[in-house]
Amino acid sequence: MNSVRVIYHLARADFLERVRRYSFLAMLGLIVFLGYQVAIGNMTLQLGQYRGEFNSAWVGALMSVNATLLIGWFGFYLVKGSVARDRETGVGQIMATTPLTRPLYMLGKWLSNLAVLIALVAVLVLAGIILQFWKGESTQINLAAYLVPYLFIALPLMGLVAAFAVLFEAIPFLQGGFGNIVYFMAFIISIPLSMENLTGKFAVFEPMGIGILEQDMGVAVRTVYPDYNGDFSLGPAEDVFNTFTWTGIHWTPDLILARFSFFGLAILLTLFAALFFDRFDPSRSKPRRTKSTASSPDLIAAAPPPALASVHLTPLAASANRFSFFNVLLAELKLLLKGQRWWWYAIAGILIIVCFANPSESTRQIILPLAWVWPVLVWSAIGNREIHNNVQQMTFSSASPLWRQLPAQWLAGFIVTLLIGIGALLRFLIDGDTTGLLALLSGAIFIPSLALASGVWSGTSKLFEILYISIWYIGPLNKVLELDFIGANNNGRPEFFIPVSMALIAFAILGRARQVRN
Amino acid sequence: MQLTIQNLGKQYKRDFWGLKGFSLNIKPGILGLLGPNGAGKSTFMRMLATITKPTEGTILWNGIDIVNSPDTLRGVLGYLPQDFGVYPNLTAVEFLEYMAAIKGLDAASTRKRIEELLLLVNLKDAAKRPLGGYSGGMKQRVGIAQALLNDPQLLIVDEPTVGLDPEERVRFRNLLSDLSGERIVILSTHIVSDVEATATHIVLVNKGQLLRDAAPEDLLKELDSKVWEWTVHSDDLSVLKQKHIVSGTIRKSDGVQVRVVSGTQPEAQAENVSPNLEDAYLYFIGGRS
Repeated sequence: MNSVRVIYHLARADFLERVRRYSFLAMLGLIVFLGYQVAIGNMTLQLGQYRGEFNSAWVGALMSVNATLLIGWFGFYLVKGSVARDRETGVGQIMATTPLTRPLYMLGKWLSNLAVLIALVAVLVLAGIILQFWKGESTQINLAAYLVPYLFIALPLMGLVAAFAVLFEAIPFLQGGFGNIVYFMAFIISIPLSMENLTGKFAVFEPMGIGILEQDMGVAVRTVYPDYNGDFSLGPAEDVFNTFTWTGIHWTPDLILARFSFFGLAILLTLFAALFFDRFDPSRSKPRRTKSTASSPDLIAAAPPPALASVHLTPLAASANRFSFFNVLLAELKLLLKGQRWWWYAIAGILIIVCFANPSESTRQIILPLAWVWPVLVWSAIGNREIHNNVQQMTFSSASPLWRQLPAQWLAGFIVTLLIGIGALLRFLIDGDTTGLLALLSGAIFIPSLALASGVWSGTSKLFEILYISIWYIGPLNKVLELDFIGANNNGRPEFFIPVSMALIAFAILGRARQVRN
Repeated sequence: MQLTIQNLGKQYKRDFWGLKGFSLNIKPGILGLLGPNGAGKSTFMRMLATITKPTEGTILWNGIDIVNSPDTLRGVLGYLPQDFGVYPNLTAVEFLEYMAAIKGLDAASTRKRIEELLLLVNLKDAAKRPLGGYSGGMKQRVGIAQALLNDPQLLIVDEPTVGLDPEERVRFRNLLSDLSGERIVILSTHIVSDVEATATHIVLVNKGQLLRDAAPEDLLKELDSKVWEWTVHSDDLSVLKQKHIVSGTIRKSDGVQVRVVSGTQPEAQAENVSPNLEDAYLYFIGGRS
């Protein structure tokens, strides 16, 4: 009983702390926006050219699928970070001195993550009811049919997402930006993989719950329209639909148990995470390898202080105060690149060489996009490093922080981007591929601009990591030409991305000005 | 060189002012800011350091309003915040080089200055190691070094001795005294002995209000004939604490020697003694003024 109380209070405090943050409000705003997108038909479930009548079961299923995709994907980033916060605020060290066990702590965090995700789903639940009345195709609210998809489809996935967030926080190499990218890619890849492989009676084990809906709705539509081709999609409404009535899945105890088994899996994952959790013991964290000559990885001991003989500072000559932009730029470059391991540079070097050694065409389509995802964690520190390392009071109280430091930060980002793309740049020059060159340059301008604006305004590296990987994945990789900032599949869009970059820089300046004059 | 503060105020919420009606005229020397936690010291210092914008009032540096033109001050400002971080992957030298660059120091002066500063804060031996491995006190010393990089005319240090061992604390206090000649040093702390050892002027702050603005000797003069010492039985101590401001106790073989701040002689056997700054602090902050 005492354990339950501990978990409850851990989760409660953590939940309250998080829902009072602006990031939660921002996510709520995003969810309301999603509800609106569903309402205006931009996120509609389609079965070929058919869709269900907007009754309670259909709306519930539609909203649940949207919840699993959006909250399951981006909610992870919202809930991940609560262990890190305990570490940064020092609360963790206080907790570590109590009898709190690692599994209890992890379960508390899981529960709190789950509560935050459920709060987000609840917004969609309310939006769905409004949607049904708005559409007016069926004004009778069948509460059970409406709520069941949330309960059996969305919630089990939320349980899993909450557990993954805990797991990623416990495993050292997944704690930072690398973990964010791993989750992003894993989520994208897992959707088609699980839908393809978990079919028939195993569809219920497809975490997103899309498979089981696809199967059940498919049966319903086929009874009315036997020519249904089996297509199932979620996205903007395309054709004029014929509608059919779908009254929901007949949830048998077996099905419910199967869906709820995800909670069991989530708890197992959470307990598994406890094995990796260092319980805020700095000595258990893997020390970074540095060029330090110290033989011990522990804290460096200062040399015994000499006698208190006073050391006098030579007064600085007035001429010493001569600002050099080049010095600031060098310092910013050092900050960007310092701390990377040798293999990071080795892979960057290989990517540069491979870009240069291949024909212009394949460099544009495959190698340059790969090269320009490699430094994502370097770029993502731009604009938020001061806040992240708590040096903002010192740097922002220096002379002209806005016009001396910010341009240097952007330029350092631009130089790193260009350096990673230097192989491709030379290749395009040699091959006379001017359109490729122009696209590369606009990409090199766009990336640090996006990083700077995201970093300054969010104060974290997460926003850039998510935004950039999304654009990179949708544009250059999936050939959505509007977002192809590299010019992987066409000539790029410098006429779009350069003005956007300028706007992003202006936005960053605005944000930094706000930070400096708080 | 003069820093003039007129009717300065910072409102955090509709009904909560972190600081209100602050007016001061600061000249070269060390100004010690004393006050309990949450008194408004850090708010005041952040406004002076151009980090936080005041809700009302003006701050004039040599006659120029730094709220409207903060860069006038920033070029000659050294600031050590109460709570700050460092870039963990940089060494102390690299971090100071970075700070020097953004403060606008030329390369040649920077090198020499950093060398001297590292010697001064006793980090010469650890200078080439990543800051991520530094202890709290060592990081604090890096913070002190960065504040002194540009040979500031206005040096603002907020709780500078937190995390320093006693020897380093003495060293830092001596340093502040050495530095104070031709510049303004504003030192905020609630370690009264730090202020006592260095300050040429003292400002007492409580609940966002300026209570006293005086030279230490004037402050102590106000307490003449108000500090008493005598020995009581240890059982009587708790009753005594409820009745008077007890600024010190020493256990002795015949009981407890108490030090009390009181306008009148508290007991017949109480003897009048010379006041110190801690007595003054308790007297004024305790609301007996």
